[in-house]
Amino acid sequence: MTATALTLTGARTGQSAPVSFEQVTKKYGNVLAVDNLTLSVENGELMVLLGPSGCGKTTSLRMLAGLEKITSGVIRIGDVVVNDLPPRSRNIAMVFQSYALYSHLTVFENLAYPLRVRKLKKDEIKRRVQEVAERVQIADLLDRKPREISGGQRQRVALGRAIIREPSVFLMDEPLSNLDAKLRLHMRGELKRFQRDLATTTIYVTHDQAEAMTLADRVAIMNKGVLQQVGPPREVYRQPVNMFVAGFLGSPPMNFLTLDVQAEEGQLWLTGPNVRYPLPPEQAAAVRQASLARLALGVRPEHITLSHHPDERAIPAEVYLVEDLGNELLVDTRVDGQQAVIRIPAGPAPSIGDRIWLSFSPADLHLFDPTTEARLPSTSPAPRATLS
Amino acid sequence: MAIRIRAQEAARVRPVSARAPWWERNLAWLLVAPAIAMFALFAIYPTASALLFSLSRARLIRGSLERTYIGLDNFRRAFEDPLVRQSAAFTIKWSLSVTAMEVLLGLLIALLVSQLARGRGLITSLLIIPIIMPPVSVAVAWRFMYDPAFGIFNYLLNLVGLGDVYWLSDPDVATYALMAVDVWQTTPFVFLLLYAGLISLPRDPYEAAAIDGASPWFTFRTVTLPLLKPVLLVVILLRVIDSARIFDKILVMTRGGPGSQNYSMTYTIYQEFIPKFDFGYTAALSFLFQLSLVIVATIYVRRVMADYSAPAE
Repeated sequence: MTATALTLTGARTGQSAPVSFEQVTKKYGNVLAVDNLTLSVENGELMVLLGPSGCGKTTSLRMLAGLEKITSGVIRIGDVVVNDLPPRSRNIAMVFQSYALYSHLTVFENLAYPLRVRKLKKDEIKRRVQEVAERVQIADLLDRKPREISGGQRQRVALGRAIIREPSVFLMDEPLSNLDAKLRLHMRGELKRFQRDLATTTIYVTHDQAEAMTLADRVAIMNKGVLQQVGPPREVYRQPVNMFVAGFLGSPPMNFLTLDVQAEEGQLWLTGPNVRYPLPPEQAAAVRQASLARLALGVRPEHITLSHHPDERAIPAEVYLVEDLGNELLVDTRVDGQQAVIRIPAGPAPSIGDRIWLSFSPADLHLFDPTTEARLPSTSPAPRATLS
Repeated sequence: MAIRIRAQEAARVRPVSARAPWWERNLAWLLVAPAIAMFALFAIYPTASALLFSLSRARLIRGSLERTYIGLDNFRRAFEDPLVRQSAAFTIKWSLSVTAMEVLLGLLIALLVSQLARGRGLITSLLIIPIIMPPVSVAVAWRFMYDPAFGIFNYLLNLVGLGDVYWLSDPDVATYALMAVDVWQTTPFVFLLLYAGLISLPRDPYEAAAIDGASPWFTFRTVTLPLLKPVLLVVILLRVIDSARIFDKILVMTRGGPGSQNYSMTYTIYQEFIPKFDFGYTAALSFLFQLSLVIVATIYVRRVMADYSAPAE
């Protein structure tokens, strides 16, 4: 069975393979879980599927694993269409959120399971289990049952059981979400190292944007079953294609101010009851082209500077709340009743109720059409020499 | 912590002393006293009384009970009685055989039903019917079906050109015919318990096994069986004990026959009691039978189920 499995996926053990979703759709009755997903993952790449719960990321992963049938479309691993292959014929390994360890087996037997399935010789199994156990640092736990070890150790066993297969693709379904915050940071780093060392294609599902940004070669952001944007972490952060992506990445998320567009004296202004902000010429052209009456202006909290002095080129706001994080301050303000959060280095804090002025570099402005929520074309900020 | 402080406060307010009224000092005993009384009345008294009878020669003669103390004579007699030996052997064979068949069949049906996409509810409801039927009615119905002259089984055999089978009177067939009835009636009970166990197993290990490349048979051996083992062990215990007490079906269908071939322990006890009214001897037999069941159950729970007595994580 195993031999046929390997020829079916065209990949030998230990040989990483690319993955592609081509117009893949999954329906549960009338509910569209994944809508026409097209995504290709290169050989050896770590692709993170990111999105809120119910966005279809886990369903996509489970379709790739063969645990869910696909409604339409094509999924390939290497050159092979795997649509109708059972999970065991896909040469994949999966790390589950719950770890899914075999609770009645010892750590050794858990690691050995995929090898026993392949009917490897006892000596060979012992050697490889020992090797992998040392690699994931659980060599001293081999005789224990899963319930006798800690969460972090279980996670290592799950990882070891995936590695020992030498699969073509690793699938990871929120593998860190059951760990406490400190351990999660630690395991995140280790996962990254393992993946680099093994150079095996990995698809990693998470709802944690920090995890996505730190781990991914590329991030695929999904919402309501629809793929929103794919790109390297920095790119999706710097140039989000729509308000969903812009709001999902970053903590605290990007601020959006929805304002009216007015043309006066050859200049475009963004206006509200108390706001009259001159649109920088770099952006004005795109707004003119789109001929919008209203505009959503997006700025990240870290890109705003605040001043206590009136400024014509700034937006007036009122301080609603100040949160002191020790190394920095989060200043929660209201601009015509709309929320805007500013992140500034620790220092003298404004008081609640203060009237302040918010300003930002034109390069840090993101403009969106408030009805379609799409980014206005050609308003991508020029790469900032100082940062990049 | 809060609780400890409160306990200290309570201790300060009302120190525990020897001067507390007697009912307060013995409150725990008072609270369990009614339960102990009931237990004594309904469990300890009958057992003790049976034990006393078993040490006596007690017979109902012309409406009055004659009783003399004879020590362990009844027990000696029991160990020397060939009918007792034979029925003990029959009971062991019966109990192990029907339990094995019921567990295997029940597990098989439970596995099949749990794989069904639809119709599970209907099948489960239908399978409950044999469980709720009184054993005596079941035995009567099967006795008719086994009847050599007008039963359905021989009718069907004749249709395909085979001769009559004397289901309940042929010594080579009767025991199996009786077992079939018990298996028919009790397999659904085993099925229900195992099915409930199966559908409550976690999904994750199955998905992990599927991805790890395990075949269905390998998955069954390495995931389903070990995970279901606690339920299986309880079901086996229940069935071994319960089937050892077989009585009603044997009484209705063959009266232990042919000959005394199908005398179970309970049927032998009944035979010694009803025509002969030998209180002493039947009390001894009952006591021995009860004791052996208790010993079997205790060993089983201590040895076989020991790993599962501690609460799982």
